[in-house]
Amino acid sequence: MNSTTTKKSTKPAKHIKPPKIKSPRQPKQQKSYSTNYKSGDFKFRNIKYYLAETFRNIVRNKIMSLTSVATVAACLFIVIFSYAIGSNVNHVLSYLETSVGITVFVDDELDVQQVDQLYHEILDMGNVTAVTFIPPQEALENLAEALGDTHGILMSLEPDTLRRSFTVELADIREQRETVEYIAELFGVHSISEAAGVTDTLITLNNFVFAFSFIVMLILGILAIVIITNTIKLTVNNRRNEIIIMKYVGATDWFIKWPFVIEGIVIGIFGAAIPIAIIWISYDGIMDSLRDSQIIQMFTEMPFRSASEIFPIVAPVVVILGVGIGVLGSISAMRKYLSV
Amino acid sequence: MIRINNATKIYDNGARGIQDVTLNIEKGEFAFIVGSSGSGKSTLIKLLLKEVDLTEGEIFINDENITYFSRKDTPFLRRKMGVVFQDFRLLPNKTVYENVAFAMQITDAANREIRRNVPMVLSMVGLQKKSKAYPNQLSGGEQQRCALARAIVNNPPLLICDEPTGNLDPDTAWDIMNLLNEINDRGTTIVMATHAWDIVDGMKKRVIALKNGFVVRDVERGGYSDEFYND
Repeated sequence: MNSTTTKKSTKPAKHIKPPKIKSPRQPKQQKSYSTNYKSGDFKFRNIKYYLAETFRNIVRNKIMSLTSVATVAACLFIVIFSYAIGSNVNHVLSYLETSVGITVFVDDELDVQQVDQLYHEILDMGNVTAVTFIPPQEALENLAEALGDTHGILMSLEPDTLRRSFTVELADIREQRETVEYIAELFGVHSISEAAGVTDTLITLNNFVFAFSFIVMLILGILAIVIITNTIKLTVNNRRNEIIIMKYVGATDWFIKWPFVIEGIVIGIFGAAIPIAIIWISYDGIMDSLRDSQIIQMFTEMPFRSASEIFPIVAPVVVILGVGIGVLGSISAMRKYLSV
Repeated sequence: MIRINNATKIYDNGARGIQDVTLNIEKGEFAFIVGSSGSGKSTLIKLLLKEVDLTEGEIFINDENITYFSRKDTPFLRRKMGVVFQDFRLLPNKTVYENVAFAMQITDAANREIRRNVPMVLSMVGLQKKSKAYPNQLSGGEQQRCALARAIVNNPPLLICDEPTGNLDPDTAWDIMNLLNEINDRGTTIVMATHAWDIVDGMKKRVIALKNGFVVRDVERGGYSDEFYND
């Protein structure tokens, strides 16, 4: 190094020592650039740019975009499927609930007036929706029909062989036990026949189906978000340099985010539309063939829900779920790269 | 234009970026920041770009205290300055025209204005015939000229250059320097961090030398080698 030259040029320059100013931490300045500009907000004039960028992203990352759509579609497919099953099981169970009633047998000593009084006492109870009087003759006919009495052996018996009874329908079978105990206390009740075992099984099954489908849907929803976040993370990772450059040039976070958010929305909508369309179109057909099939005979009389009952509820929920998954995925995937 | 008062930056890992730096760069000045690797040049540039926050002290740009600017305010600060990097940092999927126009687009400039300004700066940097080319179809010098066009298209009062000639051959580097000189002659303040001693010596501009985070030399018309005076 030439020390003579350097010494000459290192004379104190006039810039070198401005007066020292103590700089205690100050509260944040009131004046801010962001109060002068509002460009970080969503602007309709930028929509063309956002949509063009979204389209470009999707086309450029065709495979990745298709993977994301397929993942969302697969998850939502299972969500719709489990909802359809859960909803049908619930529906069938409620139907079965109404068809499982209790039978109250009347003492032989009761006269017609007393029977009528008992009828009204039972009907006035809170949990009772309907009471039907079954005379011995009708009971005998019912029994003969149920047992397939083709030879008329049962019908040859005296009607008085059987007791008079009431068939009682309940509003809520979960309160069956309390209702039965109360009826048993009434004057003139000989005995009560209830299908307690069947009722308990139905209640347990109903609760189980509800809890199971809820848990399945919850797990699948979380799984879908995790998968989509990772898929979009890959897309964002491919473009991290672009995002960093945009930040250096002065792009706001939302100017960068919008195309990705719209991409998430598009992926979510397609991911939801595909399973909805597939299941909606094929649903009624599957249910009809299930009814027609003789594999399980009980299906023939089951009141399954129709597509028009299920999809107006499940379709919007699934679309919102799909869009939510897409948007959540894209925002969480980008966070890391925006802190430049 | 830039006022730095007793600025110190200590990173989370304890590394010291700059220490007790006090500087004043006037409007229209051309200042080189020189120093060896780890001297604090990059930290100073990052602080001006608000990429990192100060530990102590204050920085004013255009009489505005940027020390306490939030992350939300940063984009608006950056729009008031142009930035040129050693590795050009062009958007690879956009043409030369689109890269330059993008810097205007994000400021919500009207399309009419974009159509008027972009060809103007492209012709200023000599890229008017390459406006439809993509960055990978350009030479290093052309890419840097495109980055320069992007940096000045919004007519910022301050241009920050981080080793803008680092990836260029000597002739191309001088082309870029001539352009920077021309931009400076129009009144834009330029702060340029560099290792290129021949350029610093040849330009005869203000030189601020950093060592271990301290300003060890600040001369009005200096050369690169002067920085070793204090060694």
